[in-house]
Amino acid sequence: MSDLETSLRAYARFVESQHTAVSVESIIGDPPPGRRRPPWPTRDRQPRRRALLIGSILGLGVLLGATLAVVDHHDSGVSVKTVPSTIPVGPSTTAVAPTTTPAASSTTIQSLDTFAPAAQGPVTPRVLFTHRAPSGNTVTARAGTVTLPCTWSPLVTDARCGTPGHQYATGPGVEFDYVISGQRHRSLVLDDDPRAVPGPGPTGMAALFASPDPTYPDRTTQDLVILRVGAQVALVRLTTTGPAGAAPDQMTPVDGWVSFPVRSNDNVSDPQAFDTTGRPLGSALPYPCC
Amino acid sequence: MGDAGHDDEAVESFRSFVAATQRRLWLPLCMEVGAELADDAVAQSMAYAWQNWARIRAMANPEGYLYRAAQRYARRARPHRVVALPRLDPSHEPEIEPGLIDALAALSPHQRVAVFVIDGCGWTLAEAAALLDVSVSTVRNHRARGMARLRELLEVDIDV
Repeated sequence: MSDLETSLRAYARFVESQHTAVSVESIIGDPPPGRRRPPWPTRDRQPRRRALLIGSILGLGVLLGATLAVVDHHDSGVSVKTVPSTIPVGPSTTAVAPTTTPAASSTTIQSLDTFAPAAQGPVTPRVLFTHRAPSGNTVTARAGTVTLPCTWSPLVTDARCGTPGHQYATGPGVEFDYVISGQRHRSLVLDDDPRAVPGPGPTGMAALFASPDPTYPDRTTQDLVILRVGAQVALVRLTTTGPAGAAPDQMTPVDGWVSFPVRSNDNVSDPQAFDTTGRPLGSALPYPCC
Repeated sequence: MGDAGHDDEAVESFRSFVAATQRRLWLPLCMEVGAELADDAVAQSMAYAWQNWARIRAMANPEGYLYRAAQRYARRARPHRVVALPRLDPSHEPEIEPGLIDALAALSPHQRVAVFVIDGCGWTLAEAAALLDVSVSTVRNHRARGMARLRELLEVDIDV
């Protein structure tokens, strides 16, 4: 046997040791509703697809109305905690992008909501906000009963996290659907997750961190900073510094949530919190923290 | 449409099928899409198999069918096809050529799978062809080209 074949066999033994056995009981038991049908097209899905198509056409008006309602909701969320323009800008002089949802993001919301009609779950996720970073990366948060691959994992690269199409967690929570450099990921924070409770510090922020697979060819990952903030926080700023320079980003909390999409090879500052008067509350947490 | 109701015999036959099949599906899939996604794809295909067990168990090549199903699932889940092969600390496995994993990653998916299951896992050409649902000669060609490319990448001149 050649060295190459010996090496291949040794590697195969290692790979085999990585295999995680499928639990038959979880399959023959009562799989979650979302797993009853395969994600790939099969003949028996054709009638369902036709029904969905007809339903989509009939529901177009409803979706348009819902989209307008979403925008209205977002606008109201911003206005509740209005931040005066006198808040000092961060270390960079680069213009800060507006945190309100631009028209293009509204389209994204409408498109994504098409996949979550009311009939599929007891509580249809409602869009909390769409945030577009200066880099063009976006994150859309939805609250409700959501089904996603897994909950967020602080500083743990879990390949299943955020991989579209998986259904490992279902429950009330907030889904973060984010697009970084054209790649879409999703992460979920369940309502009953004790880590998503703002701490007692002056800024009252809990920092969560989603880092989904994969690692891209340039050895970067695409991460999402998720902050759960207390009522005293009116604005959160975070600056990422990459090859193109510093890019300050900021966001007004919506229902206590703030999130920033970032690329892992960018330097990320500690998130800084401000109150409604523009007074810095500081960054009471090490970033990322758990 | 899923099959409604399963008797004990169906449950037992499905258990046996999963026990005998899941690793055989997972290994080539791992080389094609990465370990984590292979886990998910195999789980999904097995769930689908159970829902359609009466039909699938009657197939001539249920393994091949489910392998294609898992492939399609994986491609839909990660269409950009960035494959992260399982990596290890070379110091723990001195038998493994340090550049092997990168060299494997440089092969085409078909070549990588053929080389891995035949030369790594010791499958026969017929076994690999049956699972991949291609002809034996196709697998033979993929394997030959893959091994040639591996030798080139690893600068292995003599293979005795």
